[in-house]
Amino acid sequence: MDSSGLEAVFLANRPTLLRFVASLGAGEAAEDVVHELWLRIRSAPTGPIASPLSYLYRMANNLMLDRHRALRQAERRDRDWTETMSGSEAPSAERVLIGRQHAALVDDALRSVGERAAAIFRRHRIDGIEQRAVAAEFGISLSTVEGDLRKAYRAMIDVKRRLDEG
Amino acid sequence: MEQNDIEARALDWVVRVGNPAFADWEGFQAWLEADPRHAAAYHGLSLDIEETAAVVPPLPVPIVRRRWPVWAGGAVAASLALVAGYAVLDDRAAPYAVETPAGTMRTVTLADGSAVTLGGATRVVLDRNDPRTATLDRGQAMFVVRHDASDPFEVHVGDAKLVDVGTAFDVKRSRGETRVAVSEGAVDYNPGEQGVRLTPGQGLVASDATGAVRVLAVDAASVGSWRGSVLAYEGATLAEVADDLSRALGVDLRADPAVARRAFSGSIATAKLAGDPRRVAPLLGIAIRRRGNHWVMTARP
Repeated sequence: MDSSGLEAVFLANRPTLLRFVASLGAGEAAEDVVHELWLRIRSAPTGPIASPLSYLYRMANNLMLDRHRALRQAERRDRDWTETMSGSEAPSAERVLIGRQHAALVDDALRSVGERAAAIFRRHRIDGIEQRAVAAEFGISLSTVEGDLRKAYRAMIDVKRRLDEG
Repeated sequence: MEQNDIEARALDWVVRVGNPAFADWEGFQAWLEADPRHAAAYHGLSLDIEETAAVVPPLPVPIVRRRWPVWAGGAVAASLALVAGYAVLDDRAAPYAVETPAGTMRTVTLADGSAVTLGGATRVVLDRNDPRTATLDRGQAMFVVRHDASDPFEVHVGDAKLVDVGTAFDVKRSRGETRVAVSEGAVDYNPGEQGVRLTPGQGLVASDATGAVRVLAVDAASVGSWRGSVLAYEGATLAEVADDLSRALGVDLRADPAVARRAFSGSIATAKLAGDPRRVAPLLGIAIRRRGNHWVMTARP
């Protein structure tokens, strides 16, 4: 499917995609996000796509994740700037030490979910292998992989919250 | 407690949507529309997981008597400055190589939170005492770096130097050419008089032989798509496609001179090939057959 084919699917489903982006919390920026999606489709002849609508949904989902990531980083920069200006920035050697301690705590949290779940988390999130391929590697079902990922994700979220409070 | 229920469901969606084959978008949307807290939970958890995964330390390297850490199949990774513990005290260069066999992929997280994903048959040299530098010896790597204008991330490739001005870019060094494609932020190629600044949607091809550098347009959204096992092309030669497939599948696939310069535009989902290069022949409009110890792309009879 060349870009004009994908674009045709986009145009036919634009209201649906707009509603999807709105459901992800885009608010007043929903039109901007859908416009960005359109720009990306137009500049990309991507060849055969099995499920073009699903592909568009995924692109929209990724754009919204990018948006939230950027918002979170902006919030942090604002907070850091405020802390810097108030003179509470930690000296750099101390920050390296804190960084190391955090990494050790995150590692402990990952280990706590058990060997297989930790290994599956590493293969999927760190090595970037997709879930079905991980299932094949470990000789287990996709739903078992999903269960292990849920466990590992829960542990990661919990340790992050403890560190953020800390 | 209701917030716990929302989080549990959100986590479930994070896992399911994380599968590239996920197709229940309408179900996902129905859940999102049921309550504004749902979208907030989905995004919050997604980002929390992403950020925590970025600081997971790599597994320790087994001690071997060879010169470079040996990749032993599985999750062995080179040890990094954060784990070695001497980063603050010792600032001499301490280089180490990370190398992948063809048909594999590996992501290395550096001490500053930047990540390098290596494709198959790729060799990257890093520095234990300087997480802001890397050398791509051969193969393909996608760099997603933490931006720091006061200490920019640098990638050395061949005789050239890439200096990060933003966040995400792909570098390929193969067949006497260096290719760079920028997905986010910007990258300066050989900053200085002969330098070129590349922004998202821009790429570059540099030839070792002639020294010629050509800037071209790329699809920013598909830069680094090979990490998700999709090779995306726009007018690439079959010789380049053969080279990339070799790296991705772990096979030796070459292009006969008769077809090597043919252009291809499209996407190849390498996972669907299940390691058999012949399956891509119809998509490329060629024949693929075995010749001795390797595979060759030839014209259709």
